[in-house]
Amino acid sequence: MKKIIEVRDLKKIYKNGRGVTGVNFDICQGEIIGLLGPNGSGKTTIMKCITGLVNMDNGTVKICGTDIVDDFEKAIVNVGCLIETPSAIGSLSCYNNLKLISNFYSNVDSSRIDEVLQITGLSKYRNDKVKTFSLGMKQRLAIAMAIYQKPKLIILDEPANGLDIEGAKELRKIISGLAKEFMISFLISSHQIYEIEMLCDKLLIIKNGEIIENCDVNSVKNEGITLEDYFIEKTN
Amino acid sequence: MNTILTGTKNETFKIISKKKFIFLFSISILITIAASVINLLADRNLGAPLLNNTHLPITVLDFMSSLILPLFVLMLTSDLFSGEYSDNSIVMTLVRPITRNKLYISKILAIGISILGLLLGTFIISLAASLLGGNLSDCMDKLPSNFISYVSSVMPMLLIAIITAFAAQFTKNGSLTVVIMIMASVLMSAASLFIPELANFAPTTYLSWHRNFYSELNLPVITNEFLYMLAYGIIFMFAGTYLFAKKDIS
Repeated sequence: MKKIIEVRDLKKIYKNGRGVTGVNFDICQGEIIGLLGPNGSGKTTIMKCITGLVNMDNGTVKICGTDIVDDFEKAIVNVGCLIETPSAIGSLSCYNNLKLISNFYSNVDSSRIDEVLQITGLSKYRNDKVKTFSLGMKQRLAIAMAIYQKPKLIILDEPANGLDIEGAKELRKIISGLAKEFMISFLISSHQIYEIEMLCDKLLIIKNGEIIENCDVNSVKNEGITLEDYFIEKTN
Repeated sequence: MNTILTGTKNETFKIISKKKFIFLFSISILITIAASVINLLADRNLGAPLLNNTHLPITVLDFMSSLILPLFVLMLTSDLFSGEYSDNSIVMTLVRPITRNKLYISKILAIGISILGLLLGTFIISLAASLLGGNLSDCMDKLPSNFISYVSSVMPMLLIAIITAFAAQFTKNGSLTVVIMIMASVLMSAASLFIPELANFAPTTYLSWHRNFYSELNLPVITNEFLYMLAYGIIFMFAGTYLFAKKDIS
């Protein structure tokens, strides 16, 4: 299957000495990969390096064959993301926030704005200012922004944060639907092991900035142990 | 180039949607109307206007360039850089198909366009006010030089924006950036009191650059001051762009 992202020897060490080192993995088209690790293990750093939010010390990240350092615009056009907290302009309406990002994708019809608002259940709030939104609604908007251009890879960092039970279930449905219908790949980090178990095909376990396990979720289940016990066994 | 245009369009939209921008535009209109009304009242009650109505656009420009516009540029620039770092909204643009260098240029261009729009709006209103109480032919005679003065005052304001954008790379707080810039400006003014030669090198000296266009043009002075501003602009633009591109968003 076609590789959507190739990460090789990724290294980023912050001034406090923490970070990630020697990170290698690939994600193929339509795959949903879960990134699991204890707090501070480097999950968000990997995601930030892939999206260019932090500069890597070493290594390469290729998205659809394009190195993000060589041609950032060409590489990042294939990526949608939600990293840490939802990022939107509070003083603008939900619609105007999406309109701003739509300007960067001239090949996508602007009617897509209404489509993503419908998908994320924000249609009735389209003209409301984002500063009046709850965390869950902001999270929905950030997901709408991440899927707007129908990217080939979507990176979601704790996507169910702030979502209610129904919202989290809907989100899982959206992710599975996009992966199956449009063959969109996902890289998802979450502390909800149940969510990873239900959604992901593969699992990357990270500890102290290094990927210590790259496994198939179904093969773990077939061994007769829960993902939770498997994770604890590997990280201890 | 297309990406810079898209970025500039987006950043300009952000600026004109801000309450601060609408507030400042309202203030500049109010100042013009107030000056015009006071002048008319003085003419009726005291027998003579306080200032020649023909000079109204220039009086308004002097007032705005010395206080309101620089403050507005400081607030606007710190909002677009430090403000977006602090509320994390910068991430929304950084993960789009636009490089950081192009985004930085787009933000500066958007500030320039907004200042120009604000000045042109103020010019039209002040011109209308001056026509109401002034002599038509005098107003028309002064029209070209007044217009050039308004347009030329964008240059020093843009320089302030470029320096503020550079300073904003060191903070994550919009208010702190404004305070740093005001302190720097006060320090430079104080230093030039003790060492008058320093005044030529202080960027704040050129805030009154538009006055060069009021009457006869002194080309050597205009060129000299223009080159100073250009040099400062290039230095701070390169330094700011470099820092912006290397900054990790944590």
